[in-house]
Amino acid sequence: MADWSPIALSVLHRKQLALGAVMVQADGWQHAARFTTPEDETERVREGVGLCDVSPSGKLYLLGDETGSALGQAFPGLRALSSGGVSVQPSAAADPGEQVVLARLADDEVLVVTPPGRAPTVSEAMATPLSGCVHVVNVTSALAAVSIAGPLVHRLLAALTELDVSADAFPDLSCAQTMIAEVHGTLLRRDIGAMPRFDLIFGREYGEYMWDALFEAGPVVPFGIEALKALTTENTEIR
Amino acid sequence: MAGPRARETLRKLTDVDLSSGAFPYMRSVQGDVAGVPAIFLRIGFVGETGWELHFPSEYGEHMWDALMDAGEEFGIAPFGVEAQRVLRLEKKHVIVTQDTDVVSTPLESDMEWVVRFDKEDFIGRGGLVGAAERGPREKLAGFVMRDNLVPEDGAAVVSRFAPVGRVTSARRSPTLGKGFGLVWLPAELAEEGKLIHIRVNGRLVPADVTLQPVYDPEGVRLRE
Repeated sequence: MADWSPIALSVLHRKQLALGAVMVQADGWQHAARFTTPEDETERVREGVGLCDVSPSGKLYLLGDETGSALGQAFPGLRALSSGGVSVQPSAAADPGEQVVLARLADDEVLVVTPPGRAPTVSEAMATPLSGCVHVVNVTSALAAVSIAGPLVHRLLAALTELDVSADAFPDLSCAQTMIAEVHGTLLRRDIGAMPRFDLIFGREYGEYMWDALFEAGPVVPFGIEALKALTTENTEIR
Repeated sequence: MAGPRARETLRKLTDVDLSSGAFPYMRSVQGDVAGVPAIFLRIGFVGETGWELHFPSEYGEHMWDALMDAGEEFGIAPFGVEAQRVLRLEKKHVIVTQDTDVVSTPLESDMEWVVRFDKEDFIGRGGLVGAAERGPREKLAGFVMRDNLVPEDGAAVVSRFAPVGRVTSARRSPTLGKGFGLVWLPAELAEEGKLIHIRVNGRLVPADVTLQPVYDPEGVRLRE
């Protein structure tokens, strides 16, 4: 039997290659490192709106009546997280310094976003102490995700969804499920300092359609994980 | 993946024992294929030895390439749903909602094998018990055209100037070289060898009722 080392590809892999992405391999996935330069991409995101494929992120659902107590057990530092709220937490199951994002979609439903490649270990760590009606489901393979960031992000999203994403109606650390370009999606808002950032998570099978819809909705620049890292490095607080 | 050389192809990519003794028809196991964790389903919609492989979507292109490379020496070829529809029809494998409708029962649809009347209860048990006691009014049967025409899906079966049944699926059979398919008929017409008439291009064309799959009726290839 051959010694296989399969590499995971995002559903947006070919869309990004078509835009000239330089790919890098990390955590078992191919990622778009950059399309131009990190400096150029960072500047353009800060001036307008940028789009970054974050599909390699791990995605877990925590489901069931005992979701609240399970969250408390898995994340001891977590203060109350009510429906519609988002929290960024350290995870003992991820590497030091890595964080997971918790989006409480309902009393009995939380979407947990992990760093790429960490979904199995975070899932296992969360599942171990669970008791009662609560389940962890790894949906990494079923969902695509993009980060949309920049001062003009509201204008872009307003063209695609009826959800009010204004700062008053949808402040930092909010989440909601909504239709975007007629596709069901989950929006998580987690700003980078003063710059608004939304993560859009949706069915993988609509990946290329959604990518095109976002580009058609307005001027938007693709940016890679090097620029994403540069943008977020100074904003890694637990909140 | 399906076909008499599917086992040889897949065997190059996995340590799972694929022999029919260890892994018979209608069983499932979990194992790696080309280094990717997968669920193997030994099922056969198209009527040949075959497996459905379910695996994380992010490895789709890797898996496709690995399978095509492994199968090259056996003449592997991709096939689409049009070929799949012909192959399943030759095996008389029903597509629920295309070959059945909301009032169809498994007893009429030649799928009585899916019903376990010895279970104490299940959703719909009362209705099916009643249907079994009444006996079928209609049945889903196969047909083979006597000439070269292929009816359209939905074509009427006509008897004594009145529509009495309808074709649900029809194609040209590569095995028979004739049009064939599935048809709802009054129970008294759904008998082996009965002559029926199907409306094709505005005229009535003769066809023979068949109750057996036109391909591998014993299901030997499926279970090999």
